[in-house]
Amino acid sequence: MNSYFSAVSPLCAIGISVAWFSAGVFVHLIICRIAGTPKYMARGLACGFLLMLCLAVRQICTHTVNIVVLYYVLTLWLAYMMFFVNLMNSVTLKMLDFMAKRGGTLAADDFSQIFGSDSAIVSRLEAIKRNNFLRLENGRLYITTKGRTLVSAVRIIRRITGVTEAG
Amino acid sequence: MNILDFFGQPDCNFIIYASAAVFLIFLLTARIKNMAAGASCHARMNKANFFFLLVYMAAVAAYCIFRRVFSIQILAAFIGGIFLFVTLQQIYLMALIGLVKKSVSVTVVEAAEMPEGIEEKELKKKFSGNADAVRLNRLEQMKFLGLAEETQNIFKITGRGKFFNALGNIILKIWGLERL
Repeated sequence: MNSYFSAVSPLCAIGISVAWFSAGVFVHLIICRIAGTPKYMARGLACGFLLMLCLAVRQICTHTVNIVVLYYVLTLWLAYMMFFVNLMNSVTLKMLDFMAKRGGTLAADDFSQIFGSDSAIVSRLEAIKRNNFLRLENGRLYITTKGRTLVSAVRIIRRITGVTEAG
Repeated sequence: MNILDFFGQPDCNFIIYASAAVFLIFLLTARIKNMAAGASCHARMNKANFFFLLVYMAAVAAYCIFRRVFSIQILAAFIGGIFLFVTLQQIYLMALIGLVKKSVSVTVVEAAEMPEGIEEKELKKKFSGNADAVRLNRLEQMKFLGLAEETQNIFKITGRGKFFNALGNIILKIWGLERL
């Protein structure tokens, strides 16, 4: 029987992975330049999914499926996504940028102008409601079935990993 | 062809298997010793992971010396093994633990879990103090990382801070993205 799996040399595995990853980054760069920041995360994940799909289909068609190459490309892509998520969302980097744009010197209290108590929780709460994890009724928030499923899944993972302290 | 014959060379395959095996041992040790419990679990787990990474590197070096196998392919497999070990921890395990432990969104959803729900104002009040704590924590972090220095509650950006901020802005500009 003709197997779908194939071995490649370690050096070749690195070369193939870097080539595919670089191609993905190039396509993602063009997409980002055209579409900008909105829905950045969803587009990044979709781009990664398509990249993995193309690689997998190519490997299946040419009978050269290699788990290590697939792992390298997937992980490189996730690391790339995490880098941008941190760069765009990191509170520390945002505060640093805020300080740099205001002459490089600020009093500790000045940071509360944009990193105030309410702004962070209000925007987060809006996103949670928009994604149907909570619903608002007469000024009270109730958990939805989707929210309950999320909480149950998180509790199972906490039990497996031994995480005891949340928040 | 065997699905687990990644490189077609037994020595190179062994280096990858060893990486996965040592990571599994690390996972079991972390679970048995309850390393994910408590407040400073990230630092504790990273420290343990680094120790096991050293064990893995020493084991591979000993294997290569014992078997007298040295080549560019062995080195590439070794780099792959280190990549596998480090990314299993940093990209997958820590991301999962970070999500179940530190996600503000999950904590907010959990807070409204009771059948009677929770007043929106009460929930906002409950978490607004959290945002203050995060802000103060990040100011301390900036000092710790040498990105800013503090004198009498006045923060001043350092040369390193300016460099990293400029670098981040250049990358975002190339990709056409903005901070959220």
